[in-house]
Order: sequence, then C-alpha cells, then structure tokens
Amino acid sequence: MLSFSLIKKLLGRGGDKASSQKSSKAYDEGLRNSNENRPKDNDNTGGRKLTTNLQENEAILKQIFSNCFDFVIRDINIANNPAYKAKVMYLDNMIPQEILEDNVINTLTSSPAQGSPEPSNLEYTMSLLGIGFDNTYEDVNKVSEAITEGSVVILINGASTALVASMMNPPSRAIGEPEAEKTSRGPRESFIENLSVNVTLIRKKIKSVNLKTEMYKLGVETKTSVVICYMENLTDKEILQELKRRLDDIKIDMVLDANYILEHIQDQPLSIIPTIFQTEKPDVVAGKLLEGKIAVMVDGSPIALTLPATFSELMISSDDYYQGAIVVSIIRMARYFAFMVSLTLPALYVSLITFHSELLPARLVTTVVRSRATVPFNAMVESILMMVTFNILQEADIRIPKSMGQAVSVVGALVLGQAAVSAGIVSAPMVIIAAFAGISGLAIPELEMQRALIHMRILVLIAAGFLGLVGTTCAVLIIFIYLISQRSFGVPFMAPFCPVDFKAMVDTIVRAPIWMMKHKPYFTKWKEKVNRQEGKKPKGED
Amino acid sequence: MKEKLKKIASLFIIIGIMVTTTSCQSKVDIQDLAIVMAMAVDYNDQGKYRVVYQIFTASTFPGGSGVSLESSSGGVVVPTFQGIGGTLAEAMHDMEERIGKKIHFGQIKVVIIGQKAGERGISPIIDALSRLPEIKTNVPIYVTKGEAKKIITQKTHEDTITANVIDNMVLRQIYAGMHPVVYLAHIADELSSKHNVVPVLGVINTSEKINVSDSSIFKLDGMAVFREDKLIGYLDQKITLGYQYIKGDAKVFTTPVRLRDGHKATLRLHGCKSKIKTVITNGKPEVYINLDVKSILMDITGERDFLKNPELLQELESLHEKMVKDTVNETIRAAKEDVKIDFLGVGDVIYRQHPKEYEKIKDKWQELFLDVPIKVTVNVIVKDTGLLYKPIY
Repeated sequence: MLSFSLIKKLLGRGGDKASSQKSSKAYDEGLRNSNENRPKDNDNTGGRKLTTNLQENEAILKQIFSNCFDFVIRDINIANNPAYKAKVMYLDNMIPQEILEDNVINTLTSSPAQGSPEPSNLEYTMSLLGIGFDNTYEDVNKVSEAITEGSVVILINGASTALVASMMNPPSRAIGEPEAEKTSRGPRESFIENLSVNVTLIRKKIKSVNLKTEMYKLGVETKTSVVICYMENLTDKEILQELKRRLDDIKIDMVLDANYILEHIQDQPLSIIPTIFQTEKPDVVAGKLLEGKIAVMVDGSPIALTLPATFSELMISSDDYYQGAIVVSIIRMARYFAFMVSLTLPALYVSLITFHSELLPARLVTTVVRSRATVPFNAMVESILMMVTFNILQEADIRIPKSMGQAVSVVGALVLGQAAVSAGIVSAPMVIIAAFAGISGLAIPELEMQRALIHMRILVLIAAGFLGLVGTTCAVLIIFIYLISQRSFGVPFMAPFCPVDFKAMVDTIVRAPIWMMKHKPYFTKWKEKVNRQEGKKPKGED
Repeated sequence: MKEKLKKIASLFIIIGIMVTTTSCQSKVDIQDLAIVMAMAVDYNDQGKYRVVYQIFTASTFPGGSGVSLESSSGGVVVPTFQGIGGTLAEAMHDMEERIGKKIHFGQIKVVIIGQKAGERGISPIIDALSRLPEIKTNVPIYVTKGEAKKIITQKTHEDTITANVIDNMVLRQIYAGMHPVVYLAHIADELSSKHNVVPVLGVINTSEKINVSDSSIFKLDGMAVFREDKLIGYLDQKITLGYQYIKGDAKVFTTPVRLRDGHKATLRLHGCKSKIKTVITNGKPEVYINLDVKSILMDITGERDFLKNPELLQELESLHEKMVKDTVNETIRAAKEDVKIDFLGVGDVIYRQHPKEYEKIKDKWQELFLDVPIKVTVNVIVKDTGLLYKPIY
C-alpha cells in the first residue's frame, strides 16, 4: 500500500517537474498525440521491426544513424541491476540535458520501490516515465523518426518495443519585438522560430477550448511541423476542409519557412497580390482567429499565415485597434489615399506633362519646363529610372548591415538625388514624384502589398507614358479588375467593397469604435466556390 | 467558363479603348513644346493679318533645374515670332516652320487685338482662336489702342515673360472688378448671339511713365465697344466703372467721398448686386436698375464717433449712393449719346424677361434704346468702420 502511493508520488513529481520546467513540452507531446489519431499517409507498416535482442536493435539504429556525430547511445541498467540492460538513444542538444539526467536516467537507475512491477517488465519503465502505449513503437522507421524529432528512445533488453519520450527542446531565441511590423501601441511580442512557443503565445491570449490546433508533418526530409489553428465555433467548416485538402496535397522535400506552405495553398499560385495574410504578431493572429479565420503556423518560421485574407485587411495595422477610433479612421483614410497616390501619381505626372500640359497651371508649366530643359530622357523613361532607383535603394537598405544603414540612405537619397538633379540627368519634380510615390507605398502596413504595388505602379506608368490619361485610367481599371477577380479560399479579395457589404465596412476605410464592431465572420457570407479550380494548383504537386 | 469569358471580354474592351482612343502621336515631352504665352493680332496697311507669339521654351532659361529663377530683365529675352498672312490661320501657319518646335496653345495667357484689327472686325479672329484644339476657353481677350505687337514685345521689369505681367493684372481685375475681363468663350458667345448683344472688350495700353519710382508698364484703360464685330469706340475709366456697377461685376475697390463739411473719407466697396427690371407698357419698355452696394470705411478725417452717432454712417451712405448713381447715369448717358448703342445689355435683359414682346421690337432695338427711360436706384450699406469706431486722433 505504501509503495503504491510512493510510485504515485514519484510519478506525480516527475510529471510536475516536466510540466513546470517547460510547459510547452508537455503541450508539444499532446500535439503529437493528437496527431497520432490522424491516419498518416506515410504510414509504413511494412517496415522493419525491432527484435527482442538489444544488441541487434542497437546495431540497426547505429546503422541508420551512421555518420551522425550527434547521435548518442547511453547504456544503463534499470534499477541498477546489471541483469536489466537498457539503451537510451537521442540526438545531442535536441533535448535538455538536465531533464534527461534527472527524470529519465536517474529515475530508471534508482532502486525500485516496494510493490512496483518487476523491473524486467516493460511496464515498470513505462509507468516510471509516464509513457503510454501510444508512444511505444516496434517499427524501426518510426523509432528513427522519433529520434530525429528530438525524442528520447529507450530500448530494453528482451523487449521488441521502443519507448519514446518526447523531450524536444531545440535551441531557439527568446521572444523579441516584431521586426517588420512596427507598432507604436499594443503588445510588442512577436513569434519566434519555435512552433510550440508560438502556439503557446496564442493559447495565452485565447483561453478557450474552442481553440483547436491540428498538426501536420510536411516535407519529406525536413518533416516540419505545421499547425493549423482555428476557433471551432467560428470557423467556416468548408474553408477549413479546403485548407486541409490543400495541405494534404502538398508534396515537397523541405519546408523551411511559412512561405513554402503559402505558395502551395494560395488560390492562384502566380498571383502578385498576397491573398494570404502574413504576420509575426500573436495578438494579430488571435484577433484573426476570433474573426473566424484560420491560422497556419510552421515550425522554424516566425511568420503565421492567416486566411482567408481580403484587401481591406492588408491596409490594417495592428495598432489600429489600440488607439482611438477617430484618429485611426483618419489614418486609415490616409492609407487608402496613399495607396492611390502610390499607384497613380507617377503615371498622372507623366501623362500630364507629355500629353495634357494644358491641364497644368501655367506657373507649374514654367517650373517643369525649366527643370526638364536638360533632361535627356523622356518623362516615362525618366520616371521608370527613378522608380527602379528608389526600389534599389529600398532593397539595399534592407540588406546592408545595421552599422552601415545610415550611410547608405544618406548617400543614396541625398548625394545621388542631388547630384543627378544638378547634373541635369533627372529633373527635380520627378525626384519629388518618385520619392513621394515610393514613400506613400511604404505607408501600407503589409509588406507583400508594398511589393505588389511596385509592379502595379510601373504597369500604370507605362500605360501613361504611351497613352496618356486614358491609358492611366484603363491601366487602373485593369488593376482593379485583377484585384476584384482575386479569391482567397473562395472569398472575394476586394470584399466588402466588391461585393458591397455596408455592414462590414465598419472596419475598412474607417474603424468604428470597438463597442460598435461585432466581430462576426463576415467573409463567410461572401465566399463563393471554395474549391481551387483544377489547373490552378501549383505544378509538381502530383 | 461564362465568367471567364466575361473577364476576357472586358479586358479586350479596355485594351480596345486604350488603343483606339489615344495615340502616341500626340506624345510630346513638355520641354519640346513651344508654349505660346501671349498672342497679338494686328491688321497692317497691306491688308494682311500679322500675328505675334510670345513663346516660352525650355531654352528660354538655360541651365538645368536648381538654377534660381530668372534674373528679371537681366538680358534674358523671351523669344517672339511673327507671321503674316491673308487670314489669321495663314499668319499663324506662316511662322510654324520657323519656330521648329510643336506650338502649344494650352497655356496662352492673353490675346491682344490691335486697333486696326478691331476696326476690321474681330469675328474671324475669335473664330480662328476658338478652333484651336488645345486653347483654354478662359483666355482673356484685350484690345489696345494702336499696335498689339507693341504690348507683347514690351520689356517689363517685373517678369521676363510679358504675358505673366498682364496675367497678374487680369487676375487682379477678376478680384477687384474695376475693368471688364472678357474671356474667349464669352466673346465668342456674344458674337454668335442673335439678340442685339453688343460685345465689349477690355482695353490695355502702355502707360505713360508717371515718375521714375513707378515701373508699371501697362495699364488697363477702360473698355472698347463693338457694333456687330467692329470696333466703334473706347470708353474711359469712369464710364467703365458705371458699366461694371450695372453688370454687378464691381467687387472690391476704394472710392473717395467728400463729406458735406469738407472732410474726406474713403470707402472700400465690398460687393455690388445689380438687379435690372424691365417693364413693357404699350410696346414701350422701361428699365429699372437697382443696385445694392456694400462698403467699408477705410479712412476719414475729422472728429466723428460712429458708435455714439450711428446716423453719421447714414450720411456716408447717402453720399456714396449719390456717387454711384452719378457714375451709373453717366454711363447710361454715354451709351445713349456718345456711342449710341446698347452695350449695357439692356436688350438682352428685356429678351429674357419679355421674350414675346422683345420679338416685336428686336429689329429696331438699337434706335429704340436711345429713348428708353432708365431709372437707377442705389442702396448703399456701410457695413463697418474698420477696427475703429472713431479716429485715433
């Protein structure tokens, strides 16, 4: 009786320790468990099985992990009895060393408590470590897979089953501030490269049993964990089903970042418009989940994907919800204005000065003519040159080391611009136009939309350079048609502007006060055919 | 499939519009244009039109951008070109090959018509101008006593581009309303009217130098009256002012008032509303002109406390009323006796108010006008006395 309670205590303590030291680890195991219930398509039941001979089993695994210096095999005697030999195998540094020593090695080698099962018995070890039958494998492939994932495998002499204890804790950085999504108010934490931490960050915000997290393993070689999160009560089942279908379709060797998944599950694989939202902030993901959207998170990527995404979403910054509604509404309008300016300003300028100079005020004409007197290019070429230069400067600014950042912007913006103007190669108004259009583009919060805008701007510009204002109008129309025809998991990209839904517009160009907004999943109303059309799939996916 | 077809169809429609409604031919970079800033039309003794352009091109101001604005009148001369031809279009075409660059009329600031060209008839000139595809319809048209060429080639101290100087004066008049500003569209409209509309144009002349410290070159000098489309006479400043009152175009300018006790005051006009009412009894029209004038006191001499004696304002008002009334009556007299033509547009008002009766008197209206009684009532309100209610001394 006494010994039984002792074991219970021991077990309880062991469990407590593990959960208190790394809460995410226990959770991670839960994830893995839930994943086991799902039929795996790479379920290889016809593989090699483990034998009852310990030496033989060791040889098999040694052969599999040949030329792996970080593969560790440790010999232990269970209950310190040389009769019960066992081997502990794991990949070095993938698991926390102290926990392994304290909770696995020490527990197993210490003398058995009274009344416990025979140490020779497999159940003895299982009960000591709290390993269920789910985590015992006979298949060699499964065992080796478990080792690569960062689990500890215990092989016991005489047993043809390997015990697997997941202790994965690969090195990762601490939670920091978001780099790409700068906000002035609101939570500052951002995702890191560790999936379980990322999921926990969301769990921390949404303490609800409705928050479901399903795990997929993608990538033949990388076997990357991909988690889809959604609120079971809010999410549209059809979209969820479609997402799962698309994820199941993915055949890929490696998944190193969220974008590997994004390109596979987009509605149109070659779209320049981001139809899936990307963010590195847990609070943004939590907000999207509570709007009924689905988040996809990939291990090793600090980016979470949320879907479906609409155009109005790309114009929203997370601190819009952390400041007063009136102020934010004005800023939102400014963003839409900046979008139009960025798209059309160079084109308008070029078409005005090459085709319709009578529309310009006379004083402006004299200024423009004077500044363009020595410019050797026509307005369109000059404008494209400036546009490209601006983008090169912007790109260089991202790549250069931080210590040199200041120097390049100063040289690029001031020296280059000033010199080009005074040399008469570029006219001063064009520099202003290009800079204003470029900077307006940067006012859009979503990085992918900023990039997409560059292409659209140049398209409009070329139409303007050849065809004037009519060309500009037509090019803008074409772009609008393109935007409107985009779908994100069947949801029209331009909703709620097209199709028009006034009720949902409370959170688009203006942001209504929070008490006025009911975060209903509006987009489910708008969705059309969710299924991706045949032929729209990325190639090489069969 | 149907949706796809729709999409493709709409794309093709847009591309079709793009290609068919535009053309690259009109593509000229702004620096490659010869921008006409001002235009002068004369009629010479050989019976030919002479057209002079003042042209602004990129090479007018050498040096790239970043060079400061032109040093005024310091050697830089804005080029002018001259063409001669039997018609206006011929004269304009005459200089095309000599200019070389594409001539652009989109920015033209002013068109000046010489006296002889005016006497010859302005219809062909206005017609030719209105046909130019790029020209703005709000180009002010002016008449000058003498040669129009002289105005355009006149060097000024303010700006190398003479047109800019004139443009500033025109803009000022739009605000002040002392002289009529007649636009191309307006005069074209009047010339094509069938209702005895008498076209008038503003007059611009080179000013006689008053003294050395005044560097003004041009002055607006009353207005010119046309019969049909031929210049028949000029009206001086005071009569022009009366015309502006009747038209309700008088806006903001100052008028001196002599008070009964010999003191002086200056009033600033602050808007004038004109209502013309016509009554036809037994085929005989009567015209009532009612003017509502608002003004502000600018300065006054003598001890007058307007706060204590508000009736002093009424004295000012009645004096001003009398002045305005005299001016307007003088204009009416000039119309009836000097030029003997209804340039006030009374006929047009009668046509609007009594179209049927007007049809009967239409043909002999200009003779009838000379005997039409015109009654003028003026109501002046002096709105305030500035920031002071009595003189500071």
